[in-house]
Amino acid sequence: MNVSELLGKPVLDLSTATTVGRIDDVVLDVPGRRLHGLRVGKSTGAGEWLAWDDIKAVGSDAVTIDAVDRVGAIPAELPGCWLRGDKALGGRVLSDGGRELGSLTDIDLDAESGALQSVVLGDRRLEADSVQGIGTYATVVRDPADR
Amino acid sequence: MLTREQISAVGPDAVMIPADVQLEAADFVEQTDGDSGGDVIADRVITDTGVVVGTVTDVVIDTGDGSIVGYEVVPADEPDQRKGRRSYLPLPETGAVSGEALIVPAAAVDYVSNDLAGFAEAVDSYRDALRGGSR
Repeated sequence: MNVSELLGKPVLDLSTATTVGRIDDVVLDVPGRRLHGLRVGKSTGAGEWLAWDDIKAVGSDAVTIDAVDRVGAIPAELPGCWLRGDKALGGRVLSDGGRELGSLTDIDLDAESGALQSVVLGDRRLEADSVQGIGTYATVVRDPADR
Repeated sequence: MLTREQISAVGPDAVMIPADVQLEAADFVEQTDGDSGGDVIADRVITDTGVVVGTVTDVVIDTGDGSIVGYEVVPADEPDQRKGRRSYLPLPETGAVSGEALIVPAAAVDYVSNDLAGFAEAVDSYRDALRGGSR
């Protein structure tokens, strides 16, 4: 599952069979190598935050939750930046040696666990364990051997 | 409007009611099933794992007791929704419905039948599975 596929997906409340909003941004926990949570745009819930652990499933057509009260206030502190809002997606990718490698096209996540699988730079894919950080200035990865 | 309780039989050619039934205006009939008032036609059918299965085009009724046993659905991958093929989905025991969507367990999709003739068997298999039996 790519982050680009997640963005725009409706969030479906299974208890009422209604859409409670659409995913419009994503925060990763980079040290934990997993998806931390999502922002729900045009939310009908009490806020716009949906923690990854509160999601029932991510399907090809919708993200499902068991009740609208899973969507709450955005936490004051987050473990990472907003991938879209802070322009990490589309932003520069630097090696830890300070070399520009390209721009961050997408991020591949495991749809079951939310685990970070890889980062995508155009037609290149770098494994999750090479990612050092994803920030507002740049995504930093361990310098790949294939220069 | 006729309620289910007022119907004495559903035959191949007519719906039968007792002679003394008083019809009520639809406006005065109590709505019980959420925002859509129980109207599921044209609802999208979505599994609890977030996959669109299709769109409801009709409701399948057991003419013996008047109970709803399933839904006629145009599959999501059907290019022509008016002329295309139909599938039949057993009624889930659980799952919410609104004017927007009908939620079904992902497992119910395994019991979809492509013709009404085989649907009764699919319903029985699905109910057996829900009771803990095998397919």
